[in-house]
Amino acid sequence: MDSFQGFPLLLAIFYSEFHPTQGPKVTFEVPENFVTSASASSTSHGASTAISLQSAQTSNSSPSLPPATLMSQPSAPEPILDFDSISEYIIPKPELCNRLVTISTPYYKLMGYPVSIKDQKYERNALLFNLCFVFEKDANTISYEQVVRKMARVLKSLEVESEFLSNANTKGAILNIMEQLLEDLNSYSECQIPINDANMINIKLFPKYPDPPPVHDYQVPVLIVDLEKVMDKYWDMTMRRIVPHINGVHFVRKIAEIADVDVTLVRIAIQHLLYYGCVKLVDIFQFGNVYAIRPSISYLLRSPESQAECVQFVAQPESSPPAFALLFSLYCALKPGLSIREWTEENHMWALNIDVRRFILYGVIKGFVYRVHKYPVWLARPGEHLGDSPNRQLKRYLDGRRHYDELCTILGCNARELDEILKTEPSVKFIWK
Amino acid sequence: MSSSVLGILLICYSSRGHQLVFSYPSDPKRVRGTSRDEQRSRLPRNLPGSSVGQPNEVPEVRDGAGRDTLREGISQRPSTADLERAKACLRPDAEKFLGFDTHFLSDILSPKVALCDRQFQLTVDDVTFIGHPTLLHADRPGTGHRFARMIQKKRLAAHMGAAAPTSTNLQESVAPGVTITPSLSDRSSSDPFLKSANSPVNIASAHQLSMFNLVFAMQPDRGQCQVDTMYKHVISKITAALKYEQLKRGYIRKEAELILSIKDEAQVKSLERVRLSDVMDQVLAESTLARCLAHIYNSITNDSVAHVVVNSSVDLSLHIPDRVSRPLALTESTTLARPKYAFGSEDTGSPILRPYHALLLLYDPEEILKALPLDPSPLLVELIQIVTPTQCFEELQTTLDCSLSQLYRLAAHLVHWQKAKIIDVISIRNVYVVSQGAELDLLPRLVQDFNSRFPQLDLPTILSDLSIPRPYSAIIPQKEFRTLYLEVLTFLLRYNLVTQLHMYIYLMIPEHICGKTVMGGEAEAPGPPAVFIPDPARATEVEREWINKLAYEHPPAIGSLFLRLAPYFSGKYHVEEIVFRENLTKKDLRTILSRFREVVVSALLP
Repeated sequence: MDSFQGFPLLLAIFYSEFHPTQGPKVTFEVPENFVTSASASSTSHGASTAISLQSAQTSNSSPSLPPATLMSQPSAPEPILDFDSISEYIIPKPELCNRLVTISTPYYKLMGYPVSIKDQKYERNALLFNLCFVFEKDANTISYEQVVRKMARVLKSLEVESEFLSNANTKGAILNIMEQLLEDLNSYSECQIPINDANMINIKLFPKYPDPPPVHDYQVPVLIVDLEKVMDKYWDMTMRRIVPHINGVHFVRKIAEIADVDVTLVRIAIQHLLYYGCVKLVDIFQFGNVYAIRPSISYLLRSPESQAECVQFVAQPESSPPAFALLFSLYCALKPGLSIREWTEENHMWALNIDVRRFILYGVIKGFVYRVHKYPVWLARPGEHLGDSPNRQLKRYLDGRRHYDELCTILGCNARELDEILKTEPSVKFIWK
Repeated sequence: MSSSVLGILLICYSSRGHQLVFSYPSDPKRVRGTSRDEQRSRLPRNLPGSSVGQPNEVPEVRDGAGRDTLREGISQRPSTADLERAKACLRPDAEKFLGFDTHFLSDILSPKVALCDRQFQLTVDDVTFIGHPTLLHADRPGTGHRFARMIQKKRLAAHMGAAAPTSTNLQESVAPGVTITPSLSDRSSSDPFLKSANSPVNIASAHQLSMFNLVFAMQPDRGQCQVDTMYKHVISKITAALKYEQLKRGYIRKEAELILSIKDEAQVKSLERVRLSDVMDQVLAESTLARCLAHIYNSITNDSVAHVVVNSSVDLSLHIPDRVSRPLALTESTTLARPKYAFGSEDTGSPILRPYHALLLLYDPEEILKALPLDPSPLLVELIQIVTPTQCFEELQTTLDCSLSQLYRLAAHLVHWQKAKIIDVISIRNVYVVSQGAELDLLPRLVQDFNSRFPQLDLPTILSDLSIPRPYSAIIPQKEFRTLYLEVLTFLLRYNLVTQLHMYIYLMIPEHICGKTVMGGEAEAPGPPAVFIPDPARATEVEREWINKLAYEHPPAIGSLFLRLAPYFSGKYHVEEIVFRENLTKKDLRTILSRFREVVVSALLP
């Protein structure tokens, strides 16, 4: 979630088309003269070709073969964007049309969406154009993908509806659109461009986060953001039914039951909240659980703010807050093989003003405490068969992939009941991890 | 992570035009295309942001490749896709790769000169093609001309007086020199790369190779850095090797012709319904280049090291350095900054080696020796043969009679190639628990392996015993089994089933002392220690005074030892490190810990 690095700088936009007589050419560009092309202007013909060839040559002045040669970047003084070298990707053959195409040049990364409209009325029976966005070579352009697609779609429909691009009177307006796009997207990450009475372009850049992990029925969502405040009546109905039941205690399956919503929908809704960083998923808190700490716990010692936050989070309401050193030594006392029940007794937790559930929750959410799950494992020995066992169905699940929380959710029982069942099977081993 | 590689393609540009010579695997699968479409179709549209962060997007039917996956993902009629596949099998000329026509692919992946001899990257919808188009003309500086000429001279010198050279070799080696004039004139025209059909056909060799491009098709899930890593660690290296072999022996050309002839033959036979996979089998059986590329693909997708010898000459070990499973459990500390050790260079990314560490081979020595490059250092061979995880580097250096730094370098190599990992010397006194990353779903296979080595023991039972942190000796039933259990431990560590827990120590001081630099008016009653001191080594004067006072309450020997050790009680050093640094025994340290248990807290951490 936190990996978002801001939107990349949009360096230039150019509108390119297939000219009936001149072939592929750059018709409009902002800023001016950003794209060099041999065929575009006759005056610069020789010069620009020479430059492009030169740049290709300087790139490889060392004749040896090791990776050093391959990796070396040309040290040409001025980064140029040579249209001729990439025109086959900008104004491409039909196979590449109507697809999002990104091509890297020595200095830039170009993203375009070549559009071809077939119609008898055009001189070559088709109109082929591409509005290309230019970025720095290493830019992360993923957030612009939708923008480029949308602009291609808008221009295409404008052309189909009102011959916006092929009519010489209206065509010039593209340049204005491009100028505004370049300026607004870089400054405000969004823009609104009226085109004519009927059309308006609305564009906003959205950060792209990685896909959220799958949500399991046995996981407990914990709100990180106060959704009740943000939510209004226009929100999705399912979401509005689910959110009030997200209390850091109920697990997904239970939320589905209480809210009377299909569990698949709950999972999807939680996944959405996860995507936008509104919830974190933790395990079901029970006193039979085992937790352990990670090395990152040392971070707490170096951050007075986190210490204060921790103290405030775990303290029982209306009582004097515990000392941080106490909390820290309590965290250090968590270890594999020690259930929370035992840990509570060992440390006389009832005498301390600490909410044990919130104490564990804080550590789990911050990531320095993790749940040590109990995995019942049953492996068929030679000569042993599933068929002759009373818990045949259950044993199928005991392959080391499923822990107690998951099994209990599947079977609809609690941990103690599962213990009772498995006690009758001496060949089942328990592995904690 | 590397499962994002969808396939490998080799494109050659010769006077015959551009051609997709080889692609692997024969039926590449997109990783996300299908699943994403599926997911999207599953999502209810009315959820806020149901298009997951792409509110601009209007669902549209993508054509070409997109349609294929869309159909396979959503449509209830798989027969369409099957039909198409069947059709493709019948018409090998309309062969497809990832839904793209192969001829089209070879076209877009043979770029103009300006984009050659550097990283090439093209993304079409969600598939990224990355390669290094390499020019083989000898008429441009830096593209191997001088090199080719050098080879030529050597050849001529070698052949001087000897029998006439074999015809093909000569052709290939001389050809670059011969072609200078015609292609140079062609180059100066604005249309580079002889894309026009009227390219001058060289008489010496009809299909002279002028460019090749080894391309990886990827669907990176972690963005550009993943693509760049692949380029840096795999593509650029194999490309360099191929270029060398082509310039020296005409390797690519020879192999390309072989592969193409097999394909052509199959095309003729296509009336008799030759299956595509059979063609692939034949290509793999006959072409060393195809085998080499397939091997690289398989290794990369399995996250293992690809060891190949290109044309039985260039020795390459390719892999993506694994940033996740680095030894010494540096993994957890990446999220919240935790200086693991205050010394050693952590920036280099190489594991920090200490004399008390040992090397654990992840495979049997014979297996590793077999996979070594052709000319390994004798010391390395010896190390692999004798190393055991019960012997630390300090002892090992006397056994091998070499310096620690030499040993470290060899160990680092083995770790880099994922043949070994660094652990603390295994001992029955150490504490091991089932590691969090233990892949229990592989248990059935591991049990089989385990039983073949230790038929008298049961793996699940041992793992169950190791679920509680305690010295390893606690699970050994009898003294006689000690050696056996140490071997078991080696097995467990090798498969990452258990990790060693280390004890870290923290020091507490009273709250009113903490952070103070000058003596205050000591008004408050000195309460129990309530604050942890983040770094006792950098304690303020007041804090140090308090620590000193504490030490003087104990016998002088104990007190002075405590003062010596206090700087380590910051949670940065584990017991093994402290004992090593101060040249103590663990017993000494235990004495201190029990004497000062009011003010120290210990934690067991992986």
